[in-house]
Amino acid sequence: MLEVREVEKSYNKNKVLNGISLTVQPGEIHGLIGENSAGKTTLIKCITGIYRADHGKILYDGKPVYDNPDVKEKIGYVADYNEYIRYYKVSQMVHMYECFYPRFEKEKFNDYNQIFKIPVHKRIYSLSKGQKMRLAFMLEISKNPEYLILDEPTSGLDPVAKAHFFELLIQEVEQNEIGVLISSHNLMGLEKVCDSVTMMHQGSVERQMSMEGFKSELVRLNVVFEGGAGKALYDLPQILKVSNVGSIYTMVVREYDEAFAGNLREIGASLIEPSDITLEELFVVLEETKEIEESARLEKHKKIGSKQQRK
Amino acid sequence: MKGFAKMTREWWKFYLVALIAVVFLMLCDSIYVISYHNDGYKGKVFNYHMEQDSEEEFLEKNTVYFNSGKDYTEVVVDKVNNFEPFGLISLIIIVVVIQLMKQSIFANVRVAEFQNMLPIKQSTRIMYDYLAVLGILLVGSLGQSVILLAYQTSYNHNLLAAAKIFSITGVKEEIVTNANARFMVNMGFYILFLVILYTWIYLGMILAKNPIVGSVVSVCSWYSIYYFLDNPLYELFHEPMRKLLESPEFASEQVMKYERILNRLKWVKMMMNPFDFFYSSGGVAKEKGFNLVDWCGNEPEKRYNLVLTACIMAVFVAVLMVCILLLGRKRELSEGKLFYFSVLDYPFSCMCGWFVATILYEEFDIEDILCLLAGFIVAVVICLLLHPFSEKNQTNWEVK
Repeated sequence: MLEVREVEKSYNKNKVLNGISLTVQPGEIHGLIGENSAGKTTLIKCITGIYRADHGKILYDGKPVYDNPDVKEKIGYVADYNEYIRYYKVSQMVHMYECFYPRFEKEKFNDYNQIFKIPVHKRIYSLSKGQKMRLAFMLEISKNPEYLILDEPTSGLDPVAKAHFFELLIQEVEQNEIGVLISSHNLMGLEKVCDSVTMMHQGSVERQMSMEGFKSELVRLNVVFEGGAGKALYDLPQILKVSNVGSIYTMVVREYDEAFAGNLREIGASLIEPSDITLEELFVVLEETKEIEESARLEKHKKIGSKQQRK
Repeated sequence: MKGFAKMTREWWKFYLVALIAVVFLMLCDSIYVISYHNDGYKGKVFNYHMEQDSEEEFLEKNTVYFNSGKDYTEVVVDKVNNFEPFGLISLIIIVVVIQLMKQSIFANVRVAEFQNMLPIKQSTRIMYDYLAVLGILLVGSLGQSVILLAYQTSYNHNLLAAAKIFSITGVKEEIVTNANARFMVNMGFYILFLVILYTWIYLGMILAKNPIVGSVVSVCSWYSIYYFLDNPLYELFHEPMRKLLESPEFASEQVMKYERILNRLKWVKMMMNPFDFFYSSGGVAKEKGFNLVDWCGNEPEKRYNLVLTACIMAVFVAVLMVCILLLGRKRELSEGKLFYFSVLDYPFSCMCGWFVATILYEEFDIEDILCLLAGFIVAVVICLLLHPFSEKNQTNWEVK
């Protein structure tokens, strides 16, 4: 089991991670989402042992990862931008992996290369970003890792390669029981594969739950208001987002129940149709809500400040 | 050892090419030394035979060669003090180039991250690179020692044989052992000198994120300490202070204080060169009634300084190696902008300032106060550029 306990990390005096905790079980795919600069990549670099965490613990089956070769042999890491030794040929990189990772299987690499088609005699510098990403995935999977850490693994991949990637990832997890931590802005892709998700905000964990739990938190409703909805609709506190095309209103609400449906009917709803929200919609709504709450808080502070000045 | 084995499997070809280059250089140097310093004893003996000089006349003409035999000691001393075509400088350059080639591969932040992911302990990786090139350096130097020693011995044996054939009584049998002893002692010091300098340069390389910057810092700091530690330090600080205070009594008091400090600082400089250490420590001992400067002969006190020098230098190298090991463990990619330890920005800035001040003072004859001012400005500017004082600078390390 991969355990991250109360991890903190600063760059000089700038705190980037603030008490992060999460766990990834073998056979589990755990998603890591958050806005830009939330600290996802830094967390991943601490988890892979590239950086040393200032505080807290990162343990793989109870063993620390930083500067620990035995643990590092068991971790696969695909970075958001993979740079290897520039002048090496792909075949030389494969040889390098053979030297450093005892469980690396060249046959497995060749099998994957039937799908991803990277010319092995090409040098690394001549590969495109997408090709480097495919190469990284193939090399890391062929190491037969127990844990696979992926940071934006689909960036630079074409739709076909993306589909192959998710397909192969699920296959690996099913066959070899590997634990996967995947950070991505491709939320549609994550939604299909993840068992659980951690949402980060400004270096802290904001939400952490199973994918089902995440999706049941908010509900999308398609509601018909013959003759349009009045101001009363917008005063309902459960509604986070509303848009409409004619008399059909689409809204995202929290805590949807019969009482809330009754409230909608009271203000003129003739048809209410609940449906599952996508991870992407959920993320966007939560981020927008946060922004509104933040600006309201700032506005309040401003008002208090100006009142005090007048006094 | 597992880590060393993995590294060897991957990098043996790289180091083999480097070894071949160094061995080739060593062979070129040996051929150059032998051909340039060949005195042609056979020709001299032949001339003696043909010209029918008397033995006295002949020895008078060739005393230097025949009394001491062939001795490459001066060649070795020249390697340290002068820029020989294939000597110290080129050997150090090639060693630094090998390290730069290897280290520069990982100078890019992304590649360094990839390297950090490899299942090798940081200290193992750093010590492997250090020891591999040190091994190459030692093979090159020892190889050259063996070649020169073999040639020197064979020359001196032939000289003795020729002297016997022509019944030249002035040539003593001890020339072979004496010349070899002198040569080996000097060669030992020369190799120690190389090892100290190489270790110093490597230490700089592992402290800096960019190995080119690291090696430049090492070479400059070595140069500053070695050439500018004593007199310029004294002149640059003492003279301006004397001028400013205009108090001869106070100035003379300060001179005495400075001299005490400088005498201690000179030992730092001496630690960097076994030849210096040997003569200086011998000099100190001589003041106390011992003659430890000569290294030939069997008297215990004459050997004492030799062993002392070798031991202290070896301890110095060991201390530097321990520093490499400890600092190698502590390096962390997310720290600092130029160095892995941002605290190094301060001494680095001071060193640059000191370097500029001394260069201006020594090479351009600029007035001392101006030199100090220029050095101070340089130090401050470099410190401001490098050290992450503001929040904005704190994340500059992250090269996307």
